[in-house]
Amino acid sequence: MSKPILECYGLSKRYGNGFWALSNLNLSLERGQIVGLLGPNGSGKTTLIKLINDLLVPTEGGIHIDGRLPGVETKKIVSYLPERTYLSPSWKVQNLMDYFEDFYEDFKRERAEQMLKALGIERTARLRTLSKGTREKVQLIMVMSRDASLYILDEPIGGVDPAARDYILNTILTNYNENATILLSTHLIADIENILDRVLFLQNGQVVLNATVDEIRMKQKKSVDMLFREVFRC
Amino acid sequence: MLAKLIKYDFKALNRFLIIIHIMLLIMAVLGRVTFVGVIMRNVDAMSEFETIVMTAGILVYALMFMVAVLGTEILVGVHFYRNLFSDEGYLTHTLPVSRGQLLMSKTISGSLWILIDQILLILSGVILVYTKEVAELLVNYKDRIWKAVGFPAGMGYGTILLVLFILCVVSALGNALMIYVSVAVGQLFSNHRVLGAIVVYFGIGIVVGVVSGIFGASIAITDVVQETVSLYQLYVKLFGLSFGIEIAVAVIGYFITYLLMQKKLNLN
Repeated sequence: MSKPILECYGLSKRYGNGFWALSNLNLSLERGQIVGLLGPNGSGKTTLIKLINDLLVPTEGGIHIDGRLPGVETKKIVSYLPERTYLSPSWKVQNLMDYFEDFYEDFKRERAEQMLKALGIERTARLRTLSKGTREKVQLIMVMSRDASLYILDEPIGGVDPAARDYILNTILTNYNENATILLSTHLIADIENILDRVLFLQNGQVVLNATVDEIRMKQKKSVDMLFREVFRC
Repeated sequence: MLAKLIKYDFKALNRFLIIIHIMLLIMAVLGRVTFVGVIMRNVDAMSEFETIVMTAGILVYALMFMVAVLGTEILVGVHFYRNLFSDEGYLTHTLPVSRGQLLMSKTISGSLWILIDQILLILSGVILVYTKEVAELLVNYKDRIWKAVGFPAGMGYGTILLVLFILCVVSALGNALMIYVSVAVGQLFSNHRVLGAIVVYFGIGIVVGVVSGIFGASIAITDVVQETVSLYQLYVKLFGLSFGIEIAVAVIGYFITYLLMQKKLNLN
């Protein structure tokens, strides 16, 4: 049996102001599933994502991605879409493709070009001339054009209109291989729950629910959105 | 991967720095024509128009000189901040490269541009004032000049240029890493990160200045006042001091920046 793609053991993160964003979090994710990382604001979702991407150092505990600590080797197999737009505005779309091609061996340029063409985005367009929504789509296209083992998508549909949401979700579904895992964080649960295999509910830096969507529907007779509203009722 | 990082860092820095330095050299040539050229022809017979053109030439050259000096260091610092600690950092820090490679790439590209800037500043000065008369003066009066400044008679211009070049190299490294460590400390603040970096930069500058002043003064007082060494030996000691301080700033700056990037990365 292959190693889990992601393992967190006793993972804790305390910030400089003394706030524990994650507290003794334990988690193991198998390959080949789309996992929703759900929780209210401040529950630790972004901190967990940053730790997986080596953008933060754990205070206690650790993370293994494909059996390795976060670092150069794990970055080769993790494709990360942050909540923020990280594109350099002076670049053209083709510069961005060159950049991804230069650094990521698993980047599929043809796939990126096909998706850009489908959306009518010119390769020669400068990123600063594109609308915010289009820039987000370009970023998603770059991330999904990699043949990664683990995709981490932080709020991929947060800032776009419903039509674009459909396109993005379709892009996600059609561009990952069956052995890859997608960890997807969002507040828009109703929009994505149909594509999820599993959900993780995070609260106060701990996993309070780790179940498949089928289990929730069959045993609790509820949608993920309904369960979320019930668990995190203010 | 390091070569690729360096390629992209240069690509980002080249955009404005090439333009700034081409402008500097153009201004030096114009200054030579309007300022030095006019003086060399006949300073007493200058018309009012020539005086205005000459003054404007000097001012524009001086302005461009300052733009090149400050612009290079500011752009090196801005690129370091933007690429590693702003939103762009989310991409840069998730590339499959080590933090050491990221910092090494920035160190090579930033210090090389500061070195190029220093060389082009000197070159622009040479373009401005190196006339036939100045060249003759430097050849004919070399012994007198050397005696006046305390250089040994046998020392050639080549040695001076070599020493100047070495000092430029270590000072470029020291400058780049002083900027980087300031930015890396500044990003630890939740707000006012750029202001924090500027305050840290000037703080380090003051500390380095005080340390250089104390050591420089102690060398001058003990050696010159007590007349234990010649003026030339004093130069050698002061060169060693500058060299040592720049290297120390570069090495300490590199390791602190590396540790902060490795352990205390604070992307918003």
